[in-house]
Amino acid sequence: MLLTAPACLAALIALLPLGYLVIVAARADPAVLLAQVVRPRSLMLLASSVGLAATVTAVSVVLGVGAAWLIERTTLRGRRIWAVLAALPLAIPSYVAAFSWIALLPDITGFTGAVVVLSLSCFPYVYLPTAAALRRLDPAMEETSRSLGIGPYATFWRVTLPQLRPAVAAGALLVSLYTLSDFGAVSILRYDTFTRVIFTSFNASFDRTPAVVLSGMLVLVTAVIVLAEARTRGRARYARLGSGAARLVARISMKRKTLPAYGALGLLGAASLGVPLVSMGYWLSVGRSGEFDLPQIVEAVGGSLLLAGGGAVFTMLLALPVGLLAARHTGRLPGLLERATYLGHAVPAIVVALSLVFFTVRYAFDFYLSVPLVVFAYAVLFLPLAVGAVRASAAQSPPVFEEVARSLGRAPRQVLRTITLPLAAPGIAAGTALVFLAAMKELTATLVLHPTGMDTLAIRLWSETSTRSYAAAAPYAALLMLVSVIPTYLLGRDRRRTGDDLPEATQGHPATVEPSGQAQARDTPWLGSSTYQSSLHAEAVHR
Amino acid sequence: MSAVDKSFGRTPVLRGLSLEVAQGSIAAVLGPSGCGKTTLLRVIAGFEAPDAGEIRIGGRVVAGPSRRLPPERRAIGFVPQEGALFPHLSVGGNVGYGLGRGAGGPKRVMEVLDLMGLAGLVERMPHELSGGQQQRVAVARAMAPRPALVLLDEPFSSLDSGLRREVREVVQTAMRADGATAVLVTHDQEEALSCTDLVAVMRQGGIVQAADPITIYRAPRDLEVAEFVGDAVRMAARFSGGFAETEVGRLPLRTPLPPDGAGLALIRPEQFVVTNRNGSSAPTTEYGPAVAATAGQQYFLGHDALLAISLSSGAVVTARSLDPGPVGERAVWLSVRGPVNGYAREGKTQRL
Repeated sequence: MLLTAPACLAALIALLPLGYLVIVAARADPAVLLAQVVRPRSLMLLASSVGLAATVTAVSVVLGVGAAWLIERTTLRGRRIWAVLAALPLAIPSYVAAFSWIALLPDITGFTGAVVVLSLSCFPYVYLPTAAALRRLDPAMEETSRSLGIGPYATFWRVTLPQLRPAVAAGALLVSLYTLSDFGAVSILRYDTFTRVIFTSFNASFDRTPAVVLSGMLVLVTAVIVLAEARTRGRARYARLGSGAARLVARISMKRKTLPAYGALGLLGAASLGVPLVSMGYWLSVGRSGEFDLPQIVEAVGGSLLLAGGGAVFTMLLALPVGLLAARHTGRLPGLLERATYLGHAVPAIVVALSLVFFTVRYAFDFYLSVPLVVFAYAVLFLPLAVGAVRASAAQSPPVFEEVARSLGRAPRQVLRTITLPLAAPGIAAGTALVFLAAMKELTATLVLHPTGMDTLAIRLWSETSTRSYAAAAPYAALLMLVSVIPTYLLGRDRRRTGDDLPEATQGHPATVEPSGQAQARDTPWLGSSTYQSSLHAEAVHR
Repeated sequence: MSAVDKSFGRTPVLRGLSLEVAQGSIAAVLGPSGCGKTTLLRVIAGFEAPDAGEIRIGGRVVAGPSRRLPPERRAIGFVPQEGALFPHLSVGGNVGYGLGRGAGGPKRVMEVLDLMGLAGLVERMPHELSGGQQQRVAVARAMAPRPALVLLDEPFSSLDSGLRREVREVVQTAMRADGATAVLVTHDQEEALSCTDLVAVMRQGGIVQAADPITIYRAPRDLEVAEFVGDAVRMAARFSGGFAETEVGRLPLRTPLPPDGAGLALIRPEQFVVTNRNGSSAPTTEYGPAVAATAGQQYFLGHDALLAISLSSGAVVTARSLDPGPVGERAVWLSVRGPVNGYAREGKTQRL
C-alpha cells in the first residue's frame, strides 16, 4: 500500500508518451492516416529501415558468434584481453563512432556506412550473451558428440550452435531494436530511416501528421520484432540435466588457422576501437591549433551535468517504489506496473521525444522545451535501468529481514526506512549512476527537447559534425567516450562479481541465494531470457 | 490458539489446530516436513492470516474473526531458520533494533548478549560471526524487547550436529533465565525432546498429541507418534488383563490399557535385554522368562550399538545394546525390560 500509489504514478509517466501517440492517432481521420502510410515515401522508409536493421543484425550475429567462439573455445592466447576488447565497442555511443568514421573517411555515408558503423558498434550485444552461454554450456554434450565420431567443427554446427540459439536470439533482438531506434549514427551518416525522417519532418513543417504516422509505423515494426522473437523462442528446453558444476571444456587448437584467427580478431578490434581512437586523436591534434572553444566546452559540460543529474535523481525517485514492489510482491498489479515502466525501453527515443513535444504544446506549454521536460524524457527512457537495479538489489535480501523487523515491533513505514532502503542502497546508488551516465550520452531526446540556447556534450558533437567541423567536434567526442568508459568498467566489474564467484555476503547464507534466483527467473518482462537484464545494462552503456 | 484453519488456495495447511503453551515454558512443535509447522508459526506471528479460529498471546486476542493485529503489535520475537541478521547493522544494532529509544536500551542489549555468552561481540558485523554465534544473536534480538512469545523456526537446523547441541543448550538456558515463553518448530525429535517443557506432535495440519517430552516418548498416543519420536519395534500381540502376549513373552502394559483382544505392542529398542545363549534351558531374568533368538547384523554407533535379532518365527527386531558383543551371527537370549505400549490395531485409530 505504501508503495502502490507512487508506483502507479511512475507507470503512468512511463506510459504517457506512447499513450498520447495512440490518442492522437485515434483522433485523426483514418483516411488521412492511411494515405500517409501507403505513400511511396513511407513504404520506402519502411524498406530502408527494416533492411538496415536486418543487415546490421546479420553482420552482428556473424561477428559476435565468431568472436565468442574464437575467444571461448579455441586455444588462442590472450583470451582475457580479447574478451575485454570485444565488449568495449559498447562504450562508444554509436553517434560518436559515426562521427569518427565520417571524420576519417568522408565518403563512408549511406547504407554501407550505416551497416559498417552500427554493426561494429552493436556486435557486442551478440558477443556477450553468446560468450556467457558458451561458458555455461555442459561440455558433456560436445564430448558425447565427439565420442560418436563427429569432428570438432561439425559438432559446433550440430550440437553447440543449437544450444546457443536463445543467447544469440536475445542478442540479435537487441541489435535490431537498437538499429531501428538509432537516430544519431544514421543522421550523421546521412542514411534515411524512420528516425531521421521523423526528426527532419518534425523540424521542417507544422503538420504533425507525417511525424505521427511514421512514429506509429516505427513503433509497430518494433512491436512486431519483439513479439516474433518471443514466439520463436524455442519450445525446446535448453538446460543441463543433473547438478554439480560443469567441467571445463577442452579447447580446440586452431593449428594452421591460428594466424588467420588472430588476424580476424585483430581486424575486428582495429575497426571497432582503433578507428574511433585514431580519428579522434587525429582531429584533436589538428584542432589544438585554435579551434577549441574552452568556455563553450565548459558550458556544454555544465548543461550535460545538469540534465543528467536531474534525470538520474528523478528517474530513481520514480523507480524506487516500482522496483521494491516488484521485488517483494508477486501478483498482477506489481507485474503490470513493472512492465509499464519497461515500455520506454522498446519505444525509440525519437518517438518518446516527439510525443512529449506534442503533449506539452497542447496541454503544458510552460514545459515546452524546458529542463524539466528533458528530465521527464530521461525518466521515460531510463526507468527500466533504475527499476532493474532497485529490484535486483532488493530481491537479494530475503523478505525474512522485513518480517523479523515487523515482529520486533516496527511499523511498515519504519521497516522501509531502517531495513529495506539501507539494504537496497548499493543497488540504488548503482542504478542512479547508470541512469546518470546514460543520460549524459543521450542524444535524440536531448536534441529535440532541450531549451533553446542550452548546450550539452551530445548536442555540440552533433551540431559540429553536421557542419563538418570535425576538429571542433573532437573534444566533445573524447569527453563522451570518457563518460562511457566508466559504466563499461563498472559493468565488467559487476559481471565478474556475479558471474563466477558469489559475493561474500551470500556465501554460507543459503537463504539469500534463492530469492535472487527467483528474481532472475522473473527478470523476463517480455524478452524472457536472463541475459536480457545484463544486455539491458549493456545497452544503457551504449545509448 | 484454538480451532485455527489456514489454506493456501485449495490446499488446507492447518485444520482446526488448537494448542496452548503455558507462560514461561518452552514448547516444541514437532512434525515431518510439509506438515504445516512453519505455516503455524507464521500465522501466530501475523505474517499470514488464519482463515478461521482464534489466536491469543498473553490473554490478548491477536487474530480472530473480528480482529487481526499486524505483526509489529503482537509482542512477539521471531527467529527465522537462517537467523537473518540485518547485514547492515552490528550485533548491538541488531539486538537493539526492537528496543525503543527510551531508557534501558543499551543496558538490555548487554544483558541479553550476556545471557547468550556473546558479551564481547557487540561491535561485530554479522558476517564476522560464526554460524552458531549468528544464531545466538538472532535469538538475543528476538528476546531483547521481552516479547510475550518467542517463535523459533527450526533455528538450529543449519548448524552441524555438535554445534547444534551446544547452541541449543545456551539458548535454552538463556531463555529460562529470562523467563521467556517460546514456541520452537522442528523436525528433529532429539531437539524437541531434550530442551522443552511441552512437545506438540503435528501431522497433516493438526496437533496429534501435546504433552511433556517424557510422556510423548513413553506413552505416545498412536503408533505413528511413537515411531516419529524414536525408534520402535511393532510386534503382534494379544492383550488381556493388563498384559500383552507376544513372541518375546508376556509383557506388562502401560496404562491406559488397550481393549482386550488382538493388537500391536510397541517396544523401544533399548527395552530389549540381550544375553549370550550357551545352555538349552531358558533362564528367567528379572524381567521374566527369556526367549531364544539369533543376533545377526550389527550397527555400531559408538555410545551403543543396534543389533538385528531374528526370532524363531523369522521376524527380525532391532535391539539397542550397550555391549554389543562379537560381530557375527550368534545365539542369544532375549527379554524385555519395563512396560510396553499396546495399540488396538495398526493405523490411525487412537488408543483410549
